[in-house]
Amino acid sequence: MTAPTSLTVSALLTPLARVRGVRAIVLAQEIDAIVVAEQSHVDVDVDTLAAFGVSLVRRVRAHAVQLQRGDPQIVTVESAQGRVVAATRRGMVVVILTDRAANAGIVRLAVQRIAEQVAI
Amino acid sequence: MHETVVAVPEFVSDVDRLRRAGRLDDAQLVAISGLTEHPYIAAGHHALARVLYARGEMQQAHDEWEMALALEPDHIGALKGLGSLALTRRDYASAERYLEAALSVAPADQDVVAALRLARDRSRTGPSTSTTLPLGVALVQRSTEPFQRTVGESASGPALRAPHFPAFDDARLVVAVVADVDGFVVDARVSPGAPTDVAATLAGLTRDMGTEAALTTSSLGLGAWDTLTVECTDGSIVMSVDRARRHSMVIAATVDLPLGLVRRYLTQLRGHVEEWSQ
Repeated sequence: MTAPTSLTVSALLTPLARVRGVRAIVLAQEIDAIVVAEQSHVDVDVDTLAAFGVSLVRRVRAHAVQLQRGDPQIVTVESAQGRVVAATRRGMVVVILTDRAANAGIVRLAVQRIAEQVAI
Repeated sequence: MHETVVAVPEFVSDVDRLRRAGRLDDAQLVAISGLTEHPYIAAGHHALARVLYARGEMQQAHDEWEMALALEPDHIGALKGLGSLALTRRDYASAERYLEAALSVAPADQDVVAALRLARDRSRTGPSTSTTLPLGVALVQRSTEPFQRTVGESASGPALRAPHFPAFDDARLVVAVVADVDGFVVDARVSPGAPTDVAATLAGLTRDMGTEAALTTSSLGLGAWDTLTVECTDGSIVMSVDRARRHSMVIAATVDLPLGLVRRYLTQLRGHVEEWSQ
Protein backbone atom coordinates (compact mmCIF):
# COMPACT_ATOMS: atom_id res chain seq x y z
CA MET A 1 0.00 0.00 0.00
CA THR A 2 1.28 3.45 -0.82
CA ALA A 3 1.33 6.19 1.79
CA PRO A 4 -1.51 8.70 1.46
CA THR A 5 -0.44 11.91 -0.17
CA SER A 6 -1.39 15.33 1.18
CA LEU A 7 -3.94 15.63 -1.61
CA THR A 8 -5.70 12.34 -0.77
CA VAL A 9 -5.63 13.11 2.95
CA SER A 10 -7.17 16.48 2.27
CA ALA A 11 -9.85 14.79 0.19
CA LEU A 12 -10.72 12.62 3.20
CA LEU A 13 -11.79 15.76 5.04
CA THR A 14 -14.05 17.12 2.32
CA PRO A 15 -17.28 15.17 3.08
CA LEU A 16 -17.19 16.25 6.71
CA ALA A 17 -16.46 19.86 5.76
CA ARG A 18 -19.79 19.86 3.93
CA VAL A 19 -21.78 18.79 6.99
CA ARG A 20 -24.01 21.61 8.21
CA GLY A 21 -22.51 23.47 11.16
CA VAL A 22 -18.94 22.27 10.62
CA ARG A 23 -16.66 25.32 10.53
CA ALA A 24 -13.23 23.72 10.27
CA ILE A 25 -11.39 20.40 10.18
CA VAL A 26 -7.68 19.96 10.62
CA LEU A 27 -5.47 16.94 10.56
CA ALA A 28 -2.34 17.45 12.64
CA GLN A 29 0.56 15.49 14.06
CA GLU A 30 0.15 14.83 17.76
CA ILE A 31 3.81 15.28 18.49
CA ASP A 32 4.04 18.92 17.37
CA ALA A 33 0.51 19.99 16.31
CA ILE A 34 1.76 20.78 12.80
CA VAL A 35 -1.15 20.87 10.36
CA VAL A 36 -1.00 18.20 7.66
CA ALA A 37 -4.29 19.00 5.95
CA GLU A 38 -7.25 21.29 6.59
CA GLN A 39 -10.62 22.44 5.33
CA SER A 40 -11.96 25.56 6.95
CA HIS A 41 -14.07 28.68 6.77
CA VAL A 42 -12.10 31.87 6.33
CA ASP A 43 -12.67 33.08 9.89
CA VAL A 44 -11.06 30.06 11.55
CA ASP A 45 -7.39 29.99 12.54
CA VAL A 46 -6.53 26.35 11.77
CA ASP A 47 -3.17 26.50 13.54
CA THR A 48 -4.88 27.57 16.76
CA LEU A 49 -7.48 24.87 16.33
CA ALA A 50 -4.78 22.24 15.81
CA ALA A 51 -2.74 23.47 18.77
CA PHE A 52 -5.63 23.38 21.22
CA GLY A 53 -7.03 20.11 19.88
CA VAL A 54 -3.67 18.39 20.26
CA SER A 55 -3.08 19.93 23.68
CA LEU A 56 -6.48 18.69 24.83
CA VAL A 57 -5.76 15.16 23.65
CA ARG A 58 -2.38 15.10 25.32
CA ARG A 59 -3.75 16.40 28.60
CA VAL A 60 -6.62 13.95 28.84
CA ARG A 61 -4.38 11.04 27.81
CA ALA A 62 -2.39 11.29 31.04
CA HIS A 63 -5.60 11.43 33.08
CA ALA A 64 -7.30 8.58 31.23
CA VAL A 65 -4.32 6.35 31.93
CA GLN A 66 -4.40 7.36 35.58
CA LEU A 67 -8.09 6.44 35.73
CA GLN A 68 -7.50 3.12 33.95
CA ARG A 69 -9.79 4.05 31.04
CA GLY A 70 -7.18 3.27 28.38
CA ASP A 71 -6.11 5.42 25.48
CA PRO A 72 -8.31 8.37 24.48
CA GLN A 73 -9.96 8.03 21.07
CA ILE A 74 -12.29 11.03 20.90
CA VAL A 75 -12.36 14.12 23.09
CA THR A 76 -15.23 16.61 22.86
CA VAL A 77 -15.56 19.98 24.56
CA GLU A 78 -18.91 21.72 24.34
CA SER A 79 -20.01 25.25 25.02
CA ALA A 80 -23.17 27.21 24.31
CA GLN A 81 -21.60 28.43 21.05
CA GLY A 82 -20.13 25.24 19.65
CA ARG A 83 -18.01 22.13 19.98
CA VAL A 84 -14.44 21.07 19.51
CA VAL A 85 -14.04 17.38 18.67
CA ALA A 86 -10.60 15.78 18.54
CA ALA A 87 -10.03 12.18 17.47
CA THR A 88 -6.63 10.59 17.78
CA ARG A 89 -5.04 7.52 16.19
CA ARG A 90 -1.41 6.52 15.87
CA GLY A 91 0.16 9.91 16.35
CA MET A 92 -2.34 11.84 14.23
CA VAL A 93 -5.17 14.03 15.52
CA VAL A 94 -8.26 15.14 13.61
CA VAL A 95 -9.77 18.27 15.16
CA ILE A 96 -13.16 19.68 14.21
CA LEU A 97 -14.81 22.95 15.15
CA THR A 98 -18.59 23.06 14.83
CA ASP A 99 -21.53 25.26 15.67
CA ARG A 100 -23.76 24.03 18.44
CA ALA A 101 -26.44 23.29 15.85
CA ALA A 102 -24.30 20.70 14.05
CA ASN A 103 -25.49 17.11 14.44
CA ALA A 104 -23.08 15.78 17.08
CA GLY A 105 -23.73 12.13 16.24
CA ILE A 106 -22.91 12.57 12.55
CA VAL A 107 -19.82 14.63 13.32
CA ARG A 108 -18.61 12.02 15.80
CA LEU A 109 -19.05 9.17 13.34
CA ALA A 110 -17.38 11.09 10.55
CA VAL A 111 -14.40 12.08 12.63
CA GLN A 112 -14.00 8.51 13.80
CA ARG A 113 -13.95 7.30 10.18
CA ILE A 114 -11.40 9.90 9.16
CA ALA A 115 -9.15 9.00 12.08
CA GLU A 116 -9.33 5.32 11.18
CA GLN A 117 -8.57 5.98 7.52
CA VAL A 118 -5.67 8.25 8.35
CA ALA A 119 -4.20 5.68 10.73
CA ILE A 120 -4.03 2.89 8.09
CA MET B 1 -3.50 0.11 59.39
CA HIS B 2 -2.14 -1.26 56.17
CA GLU B 3 0.52 0.97 54.65
CA THR B 4 2.34 0.85 51.34
CA VAL B 5 5.58 2.69 50.68
CA VAL B 6 5.81 4.02 47.15
CA ALA B 7 9.43 4.42 46.07
CA VAL B 8 10.26 7.29 43.78
CA PRO B 9 11.45 6.09 40.37
CA GLU B 10 14.85 7.07 39.02
CA PHE B 11 13.44 9.44 36.40
CA VAL B 12 12.76 12.06 39.10
CA SER B 13 16.43 12.50 39.97
CA ASP B 14 17.28 12.46 36.23
CA VAL B 15 14.83 15.31 35.63
CA ASP B 16 16.35 17.35 38.47
CA ARG B 17 19.87 16.73 37.20
CA LEU B 18 18.97 17.80 33.66
CA ARG B 19 17.15 20.88 34.96
CA ARG B 20 20.13 21.94 37.06
CA ALA B 21 22.33 21.48 33.98
CA GLY B 22 20.06 23.86 32.08
CA ARG B 23 18.86 21.12 29.68
CA LEU B 24 15.21 22.02 30.09
CA ASP B 25 13.95 20.37 26.90
CA ASP B 26 15.52 17.06 27.87
CA ALA B 27 14.34 17.43 31.47
CA GLN B 28 10.76 17.99 30.32
CA LEU B 29 10.85 15.00 27.96
CA VAL B 30 12.20 12.70 30.67
CA ALA B 31 9.61 13.98 33.14
CA ILE B 32 6.67 13.45 30.77
CA SER B 33 7.90 10.03 29.76
CA GLY B 34 8.40 9.06 33.42
CA LEU B 35 4.98 10.32 34.43
CA THR B 36 3.34 8.35 31.65
CA GLU B 37 4.63 5.21 33.34
CA HIS B 38 4.28 6.44 36.94
CA PRO B 39 1.39 8.92 37.01
CA TYR B 40 0.80 8.58 40.75
CA ILE B 41 4.21 9.84 41.86
CA ALA B 42 3.87 13.29 43.41
CA ALA B 43 7.63 13.88 43.27
CA GLY B 44 7.48 13.33 39.50
CA HIS B 45 4.84 16.03 39.06
CA HIS B 46 6.87 18.31 41.32
CA ALA B 47 10.00 17.72 39.23
CA LEU B 48 8.10 18.53 36.04
CA ALA B 49 6.60 21.63 37.67
CA ARG B 50 10.07 22.95 38.48
CA VAL B 51 11.15 22.46 34.86
CA LEU B 52 8.05 24.30 33.64
CA TYR B 53 8.64 27.05 36.20
CA ALA B 54 12.20 27.44 34.94
CA ARG B 55 10.80 27.80 31.42
CA GLY B 56 8.38 30.47 32.54
CA GLU B 57 5.33 28.29 31.88
CA MET B 58 3.60 29.27 35.08
CA GLN B 59 0.12 27.94 34.41
CA GLN B 60 1.41 24.50 33.52
CA ALA B 61 3.75 24.54 36.51
CA HIS B 62 0.75 25.43 38.66
CA ASP B 63 -1.21 22.48 37.24
CA GLU B 64 1.62 20.04 37.95
CA TRP B 65 2.01 21.25 41.52
CA GLU B 66 -1.74 20.94 41.98
CA MET B 67 -1.45 17.39 40.76
CA ALA B 68 1.38 16.69 43.21
CA LEU B 69 -0.78 18.05 46.03
CA ALA B 70 -3.76 15.99 44.95
CA LEU B 71 -1.59 12.90 45.23
CA GLU B 72 0.20 13.99 48.40
CA PRO B 73 -1.56 16.79 50.28
CA ASP B 74 1.47 17.67 52.44
CA HIS B 75 4.04 17.67 49.64
CA ILE B 76 6.36 20.44 50.78
CA GLY B 77 7.78 21.13 47.32
CA ALA B 78 4.33 21.56 45.80
CA LEU B 79 3.16 23.78 48.67
CA LYS B 80 6.20 26.01 48.28
CA GLY B 81 5.84 26.06 44.52
CA LEU B 82 2.19 27.09 44.66
CA GLY B 83 3.02 29.66 47.33
CA SER B 84 5.72 31.02 45.08
CA LEU B 85 3.39 31.29 42.09
CA ALA B 86 0.78 33.03 44.22
CA LEU B 87 3.40 35.54 45.39
CA THR B 88 4.48 36.11 41.81
CA ARG B 89 0.97 37.00 40.72
CA ARG B 90 0.45 38.98 43.97
CA ASP B 91 -2.35 36.78 45.18
CA TYR B 92 -1.31 37.14 48.80
CA ALA B 93 -4.30 35.38 50.33
CA SER B 94 -3.53 32.21 48.38
CA ALA B 95 0.18 32.59 49.08
CA GLU B 96 -0.55 32.75 52.80
CA ARG B 97 -2.70 29.63 52.62
CA TYR B 98 -0.05 27.58 50.81
CA LEU B 99 2.83 28.88 52.88
CA GLU B 100 1.06 28.25 56.16
CA ALA B 101 0.49 24.69 55.03
CA ALA B 102 4.16 24.47 54.02
CA LEU B 103 5.23 25.81 57.41
CA SER B 104 3.20 23.20 59.22
CA VAL B 105 5.12 20.53 57.26
CA ALA B 106 8.55 22.18 57.53
CA PRO B 107 8.53 24.59 60.52
CA ALA B 108 12.29 25.28 60.30
CA ASP B 109 12.35 26.26 56.64
CA GLN B 110 13.60 29.85 56.63
CA ASP B 111 12.56 30.49 53.01
CA VAL B 112 9.00 29.65 53.92
CA VAL B 113 9.13 31.78 57.07
CA ALA B 114 10.42 34.79 55.09
CA ALA B 115 7.93 34.31 52.25
CA LEU B 116 5.03 33.93 54.65
CA ARG B 117 6.03 37.09 56.48
CA LEU B 118 6.11 38.93 53.15
CA ALA B 119 2.73 37.55 52.06
CA ARG B 120 1.12 38.59 55.35
CA ASP B 121 2.72 42.00 55.18
CA ARG B 122 1.59 42.56 51.59
CA SER B 123 -1.93 41.33 52.23
CA ARG B 124 -2.24 44.04 54.89
CA THR B 125 -0.49 46.87 53.06
CA GLY B 126 -1.22 45.95 49.44
CA PRO B 127 1.24 45.25 46.62
CA SER B 128 4.12 47.72 46.43
CA THR B 129 7.49 46.15 45.72
CA SER B 130 8.97 43.69 43.29
CA THR B 131 10.61 41.55 45.95
CA THR B 132 8.02 38.84 45.55
CA LEU B 133 9.50 37.26 42.45
CA PRO B 134 13.06 36.60 43.70
CA LEU B 135 11.70 35.23 46.95
CA GLY B 136 9.31 33.05 44.99
CA VAL B 137 12.14 31.77 42.84
CA ALA B 138 14.15 31.01 45.96
CA LEU B 139 11.26 29.00 47.31
CA VAL B 140 11.09 26.85 44.20
CA GLN B 141 14.82 26.44 43.76
CA ARG B 142 15.46 25.40 47.34
CA SER B 143 12.37 23.32 47.84
CA THR B 144 13.12 20.02 49.47
CA GLU B 145 11.15 17.04 48.38
CA PRO B 146 10.26 13.95 50.31
CA PHE B 147 11.17 11.12 47.96
CA GLN B 148 8.88 8.58 49.50
CA ARG B 149 5.17 8.63 49.87
CA THR B 150 3.26 6.67 52.44
CA VAL B 151 -0.21 5.68 51.42
CA GLY B 152 -2.48 4.52 54.19
CA GLU B 153 -6.05 3.34 54.11
CA SER B 154 -7.17 6.77 55.23
CA ALA B 155 -5.93 8.24 51.96
CA SER B 156 -8.49 6.32 49.97
CA GLY B 157 -11.56 8.04 48.64
CA PRO B 158 -14.57 6.74 50.54
CA ALA B 159 -17.86 6.14 48.76
CA LEU B 160 -20.04 8.69 50.48
CA ARG B 161 -23.80 8.48 50.47
CA ALA B 162 -25.12 12.01 50.75
CA PRO B 163 -28.86 12.28 50.33
CA HIS B 164 -28.64 14.33 47.13
CA PHE B 165 -26.84 11.64 45.22
CA PRO B 166 -28.93 9.80 42.63
CA ALA B 167 -29.36 6.06 42.93
CA PHE B 168 -26.99 4.78 40.27
CA ASP B 169 -27.46 1.04 40.18
CA ASP B 170 -25.67 0.54 36.90
CA ALA B 171 -22.62 -1.65 37.52
CA ARG B 172 -20.97 -0.28 34.38
CA LEU B 173 -20.65 3.08 36.08
CA VAL B 174 -17.22 3.00 37.75
CA VAL B 175 -17.39 6.23 39.70
CA ALA B 176 -19.47 9.40 39.91
CA VAL B 177 -18.02 12.38 41.75
CA VAL B 178 -19.08 15.86 42.72
CA ALA B 179 -15.96 17.95 43.33
CA ASP B 180 -15.44 21.48 44.58
CA VAL B 181 -13.39 24.13 42.75
CA ASP B 182 -10.21 23.03 44.49
CA GLY B 183 -10.58 19.45 43.30
CA PHE B 184 -11.76 17.94 46.57
CA VAL B 185 -14.51 15.34 46.74
CA VAL B 186 -17.86 16.73 47.88
CA ASP B 187 -19.67 13.50 47.24
CA ALA B 188 -18.90 10.29 45.40
CA ARG B 189 -20.27 6.94 44.49
CA VAL B 190 -17.75 4.26 43.64
CA SER B 191 -18.54 0.81 42.22
CA PRO B 192 -17.32 -2.10 44.38
CA GLY B 193 -14.58 -3.26 42.00
CA ALA B 194 -13.01 0.17 41.44
CA PRO B 195 -9.69 1.25 42.99
CA THR B 196 -10.25 2.71 46.45
CA ASP B 197 -8.75 6.10 45.62
CA VAL B 198 -10.52 6.56 42.28
CA ALA B 199 -12.95 9.21 43.56
CA ALA B 200 -10.19 11.36 45.05
CA THR B 201 -8.09 10.93 41.91
CA LEU B 202 -10.96 11.89 39.62
CA ALA B 203 -11.88 14.90 41.75
CA GLY B 204 -8.25 16.02 41.75
CA LEU B 205 -8.17 15.89 37.96
CA THR B 206 -11.35 17.90 37.43
CA ARG B 207 -9.60 21.20 37.88
CA ASP B 208 -6.84 20.30 35.45
CA MET B 209 -9.22 19.03 32.79
CA GLY B 210 -11.50 22.02 33.34
CA THR B 211 -8.60 24.41 32.82
CA GLU B 212 -7.68 22.73 29.54
CA ALA B 213 -11.30 22.76 28.35
CA ALA B 214 -11.66 26.43 29.29
CA LEU B 215 -8.48 27.35 27.43
CA THR B 216 -9.67 25.50 24.34
CA THR B 217 -13.13 27.06 24.11
CA SER B 218 -12.05 30.58 25.05
CA SER B 219 -9.17 30.56 22.55
CA LEU B 220 -11.47 29.43 19.76
CA GLY B 221 -14.14 32.02 20.49
CA LEU B 222 -16.66 29.54 21.88
CA GLY B 223 -17.06 31.15 25.30
CA ALA B 224 -17.27 29.15 28.50
CA TRP B 225 -17.24 25.36 28.22
CA ASP B 226 -19.96 23.26 29.83
CA THR B 227 -19.27 19.60 29.04
CA LEU B 228 -16.11 17.58 28.40
CA THR B 229 -16.41 14.06 27.02
CA VAL B 230 -13.47 11.67 26.72
CA GLU B 231 -14.03 8.39 24.91
CA CYS B 232 -11.25 5.91 25.54
CA THR B 233 -10.43 2.34 24.54
CA ASP B 234 -11.50 1.03 27.96
CA GLY B 235 -14.29 3.40 28.91
CA SER B 236 -15.38 6.98 29.04
CA ILE B 237 -15.09 10.05 31.25
CA VAL B 238 -17.73 12.78 31.10
CA MET B 239 -17.45 16.00 33.06
CA SER B 240 -19.65 19.04 33.52
CA VAL B 241 -19.27 22.24 35.50
CA ASP B 242 -21.76 24.21 37.56
CA ARG B 243 -20.18 27.65 37.89
CA ALA B 244 -22.97 29.13 39.99
CA ARG B 245 -22.51 26.50 42.67
CA ARG B 246 -18.76 26.13 42.13
CA HIS B 247 -18.97 22.39 41.58
CA SER B 248 -17.75 19.96 38.94
CA MET B 249 -19.53 16.71 38.24
CA VAL B 250 -17.66 13.86 36.61
CA ILE B 251 -18.47 10.27 35.76
CA ALA B 252 -16.16 7.48 34.63
CA ALA B 253 -17.76 4.42 33.03
CA THR B 254 -16.75 1.15 31.44
CA VAL B 255 -16.68 0.78 27.68
CA ASP B 256 -19.94 -1.25 27.83
CA LEU B 257 -21.98 1.73 28.95
CA PRO B 258 -23.26 3.67 25.90
CA LEU B 259 -22.03 7.24 25.79
CA GLY B 260 -25.56 8.63 25.56
CA LEU B 261 -26.43 6.92 28.81
CA VAL B 262 -23.28 8.21 30.54
CA ARG B 263 -24.27 11.74 29.51
CA ARG B 264 -27.78 11.13 30.75
CA TYR B 265 -26.42 10.04 34.14
CA LEU B 266 -24.36 13.21 34.23
CA THR B 267 -27.44 15.34 33.55
CA GLN B 268 -29.24 13.47 36.30
CA LEU B 269 -26.35 14.07 38.67
CA ARG B 270 -26.30 17.75 37.79
CA GLY B 271 -30.01 18.03 38.49
CA HIS B 272 -29.56 16.45 41.90
CA VAL B 273 -26.70 18.80 42.77
CA GLU B 274 -28.86 21.80 41.81
CA GLU B 275 -31.72 20.48 43.91
CA TRP B 276 -29.43 19.79 46.85
CA SER B 277 -27.80 23.25 46.62
CA GLN B 278 -31.18 24.94 46.90
